[in-house]
Amino acid sequence: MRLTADDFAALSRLLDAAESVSADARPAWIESLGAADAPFKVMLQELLARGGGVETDDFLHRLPAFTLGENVGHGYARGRELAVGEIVGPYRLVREIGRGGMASVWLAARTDASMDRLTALKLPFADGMSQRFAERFVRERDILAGLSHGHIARLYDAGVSAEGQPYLSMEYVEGQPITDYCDAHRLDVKERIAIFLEVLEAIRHAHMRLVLHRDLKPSNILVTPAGHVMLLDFGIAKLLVDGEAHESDLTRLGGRAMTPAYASPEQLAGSALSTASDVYSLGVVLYELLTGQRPYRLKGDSRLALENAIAEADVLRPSLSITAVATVSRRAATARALARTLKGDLDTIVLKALKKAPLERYRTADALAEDLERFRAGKPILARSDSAVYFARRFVGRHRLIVTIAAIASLALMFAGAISIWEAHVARAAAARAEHEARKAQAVRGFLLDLFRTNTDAQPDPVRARQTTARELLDVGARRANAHLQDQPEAAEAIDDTLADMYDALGLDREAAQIEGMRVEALRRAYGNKDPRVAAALLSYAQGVYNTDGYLRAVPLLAEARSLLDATGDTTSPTRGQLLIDEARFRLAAAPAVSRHSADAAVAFFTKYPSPDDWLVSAYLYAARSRYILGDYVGAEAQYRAALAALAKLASPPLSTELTAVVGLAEAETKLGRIADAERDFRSILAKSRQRNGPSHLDTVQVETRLGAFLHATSRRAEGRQLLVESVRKVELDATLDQPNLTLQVERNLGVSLLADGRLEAATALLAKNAAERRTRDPATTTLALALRDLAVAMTALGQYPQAEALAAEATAVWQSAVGAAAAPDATDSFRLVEARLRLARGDPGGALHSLQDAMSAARVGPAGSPVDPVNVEVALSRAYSMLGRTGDAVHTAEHAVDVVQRAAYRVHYSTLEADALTELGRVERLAGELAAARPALERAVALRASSDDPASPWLAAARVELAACLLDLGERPAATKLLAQARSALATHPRISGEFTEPLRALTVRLRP
Amino acid sequence: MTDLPPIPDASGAGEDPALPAAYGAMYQELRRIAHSRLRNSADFTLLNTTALVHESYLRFLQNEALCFEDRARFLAYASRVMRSVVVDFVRERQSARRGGEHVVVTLDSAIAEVVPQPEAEVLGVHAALEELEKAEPRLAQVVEMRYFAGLTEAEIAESIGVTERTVRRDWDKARLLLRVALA
Repeated sequence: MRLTADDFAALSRLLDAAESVSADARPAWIESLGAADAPFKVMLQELLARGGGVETDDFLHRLPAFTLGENVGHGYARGRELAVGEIVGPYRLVREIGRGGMASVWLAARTDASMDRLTALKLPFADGMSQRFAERFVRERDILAGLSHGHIARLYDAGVSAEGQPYLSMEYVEGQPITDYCDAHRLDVKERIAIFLEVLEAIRHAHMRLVLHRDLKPSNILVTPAGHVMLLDFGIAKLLVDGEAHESDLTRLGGRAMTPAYASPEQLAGSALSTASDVYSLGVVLYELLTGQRPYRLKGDSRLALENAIAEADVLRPSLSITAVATVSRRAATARALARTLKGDLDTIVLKALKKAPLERYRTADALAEDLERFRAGKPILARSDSAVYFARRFVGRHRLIVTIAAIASLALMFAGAISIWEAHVARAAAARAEHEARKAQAVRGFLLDLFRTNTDAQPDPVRARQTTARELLDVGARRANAHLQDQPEAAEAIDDTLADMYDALGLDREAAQIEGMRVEALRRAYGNKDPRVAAALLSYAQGVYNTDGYLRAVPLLAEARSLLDATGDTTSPTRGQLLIDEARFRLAAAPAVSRHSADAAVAFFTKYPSPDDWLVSAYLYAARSRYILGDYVGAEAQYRAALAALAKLASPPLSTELTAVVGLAEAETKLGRIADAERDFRSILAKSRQRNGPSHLDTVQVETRLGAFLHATSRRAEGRQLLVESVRKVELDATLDQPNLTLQVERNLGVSLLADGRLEAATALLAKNAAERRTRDPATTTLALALRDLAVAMTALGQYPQAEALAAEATAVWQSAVGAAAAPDATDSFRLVEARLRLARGDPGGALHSLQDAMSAARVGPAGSPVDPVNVEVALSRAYSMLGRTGDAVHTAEHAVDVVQRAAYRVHYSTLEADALTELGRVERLAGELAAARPALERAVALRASSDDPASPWLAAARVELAACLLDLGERPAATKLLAQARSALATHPRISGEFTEPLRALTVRLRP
Repeated sequence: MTDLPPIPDASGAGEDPALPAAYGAMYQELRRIAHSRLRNSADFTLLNTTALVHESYLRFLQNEALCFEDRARFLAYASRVMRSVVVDFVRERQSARRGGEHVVVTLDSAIAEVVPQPEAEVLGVHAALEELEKAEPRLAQVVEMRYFAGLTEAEIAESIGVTERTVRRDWDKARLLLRVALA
């Protein structure tokens, strides 16, 4: 309704007046209004009725999001009517089948083939489709087209027509939505589950290929007349809306392609999705299949009410939601029988699929299928052999388990197991203590049984008692242990130890650490402060604290343990050796020299006092890594080889340890310039990890990202990039890989590679995020120093000099204080280089020379192999000389740089390094008037850069500008003009860019003006 | 280009004679930044306009076109500019297509939701505000700053010199009125 200013004034006045009238009196008050206000009576009634809701509803809460695109204006608009017979790309439209919020769907035939194959052609409304969309579209298409499964409708083809209309051609399926089909055939619960299992089978296939459906709902799950399940629109939601692996928050707000009623809470919140998100949607479908209802009873039917319910409300147990008679008869049952069937295991299964927190759900469709199968077979659910693995493996164990009776049984077994191991230990101990220990064991056993019994007794509702989570039970146990067992310190200690392991197995680091802390106290009470058992407990506690709070808080605990051991005169126990390893581990990133010292001591210790565990291997690994960080690559290699030799002597060497050693070895070899050796080691260990751990295992992803970084840095950019992107994608999709350290690592590696490609903005976003997180997680460590250094490089290229300066200074300071005087010069050179390049970019060659002073001597001597740092230092030096007018020195230095890189053992793997050296040589030769020599150098530089960089790379543009300048000097004006245009359009794509790139371009543009 | 009335002064004295002369130039600059941002980002959301207001404030501060004390008035001013940019954008977009009153209906009867096109909402709010600001200028300004520029209640309160509570009350009341106007 259009309101004038006067209307607004009147309404506003009436609303104010209404405030002083109580709610009950309002109808009468409205009635009593005078004739002048009569036109507003109805409006007022409505407004006042609604007034209470206005704070909570989302009317006008945010500006609608618009997506722009190159195609706006000539694409097909939302309302555009397509006609039968019209041609879209290679298809002719036959008949419209449906129309949704994002697209219309047509039955279509290929124009270039026989008529007999009809496809379903999905035509997204083209407004909001940008160039980027089209690229993404093609990339995603290839992934989806690879999904081939009997229950998944094939994606045949996707593309964008000449008119800018995107299209998706899919297998045309005739069928009914799964819910309708089941109702129409009056299928009972078991038959419904059987059909649903076919759905899960198809989803499993896709999840294994890391493809999420993202929009599961009955209308996308059809059953054909022959009774076969077919899934439609797999991954299409992502194709339509979602962006690259690294879309910004901005684009994420751009729109949502899913159906709210079946969307998971994280999907509604716009957070990252995982396979568990599809599991949630499947849970809603299953709920509906079983009960004929949706999981939520809504107050009102607005979308907001639904979203609130999904995010907040508890799901009604399926067995309690059977109401309608029609529902029951469609399931070939009576209401009571149906409720009885659902009650118990099916309730539990459905509720677990519908948990708000993704980690509490079934992690995969497979796990859901397994429990349904077990239900069908009449076996106890969740009692699968997997649960032992869940407990043993921390990553998988990050699930809160619902303790059903079956799970309680398995828990009890776990406890029994813990006790019997421990009893075995007792048997080996002195006979005099046997009786004493047996009493302790009994106390422990009694306590644990009591714990379960209390839980059951305290819960009048047996279902509730069964649903007590393992976590809740542990919390109760922790409280009771310390309250009830004060008089039996040894039993309390044994229980604390067990509880801490349980927390640890559940991935509850913080709680585990707390319990370890209590255990230290219990032992102190029992044995006094001078007992080796207290020292051992302190070490466990320190490890817990290190995992949750970092090294700063853990290191004092080590010192305490050390003084305790010193006081008892203990120099030979395994606890002493472990202390040395922990000292090496905790200080690795913060004080590598101290770490090296402790690690060497640990190596000596375990060589002298061998242990059956792999502690000697651990000692070697820290001895190796600390050397690597300090720039002693020769020493690092020797230690890694020693670790592998020690590992080979173990009865069953753990793969993850071998992997750490081999990857470390390969990285040391890279630094030593032995590219072929490094590559062979990387690839062999990756193959082994893929085979033994599978493609989505944490360790496999670790190797992939590091191999990716290696390949990218050694001129195999395409393969490297693919591995880097793939590892980021895996980490995003798989909740079990969501470990802060891994996430930071894959993102950093990708960021560094993007920077090398010249994709400055994307790189900066990742590197800035990385530096910020490292700043809080790893203050004052070499890790932080490296993150800051990388960001400084990106900021320099963007011309953000003050920020770059501050970052570079901080990076150097953090690095220096962490490594002290212990680092080899070449580990520190990279920091000097970043400073020097920044000063060159700012036009301060004197400052640059100053920064490079230390690095110069190192460069002249040269390390044992890799040409990277020496060449970079010389290129920077040459530049500084030329800016100071010392052209002769500049040419001399640049020539030497080119000579070093061209004579390197693996020249082809240093192509950008060579390009940089050649660009610099060509530039200074031109300044020296040696045009004939400059030209081939610059031509080769441009060719090398063009074959590796992004088209918009500023480094490529810089090489082109230098070549253009040279050609102009040689009188080849057209060629120069063309190169300049290429450089200009590349640089124009960067909103911010350093003057280092734009200045030469500008100068040359002026020269080229007629 | 959408012409908008001058920003009402919080004191009610009409256009502030002491408004820095730089504001005229700033208007052009803000629009230029906004348009180039639109071209580069391919998206246009509230986050965009909000970030734009804050970033351009910092930029003008750096150029010394503004001093710190101008922040309050600048926020109001920039919100006005954002409104004109958004409205222009929506109009251009509409004229690039035929029609404009289309309503998108999803096929899934279970939701049966009817989503009015965002364009209609933006233009509706703009038209209603043109009337509302004659009757209740402060309410209109609160809507402008919240809806078009995404400023927080605290920022709005600071900018127009009232308490946050008042801003909240104004916002709720304005939304009630706009509900009628957009119905």
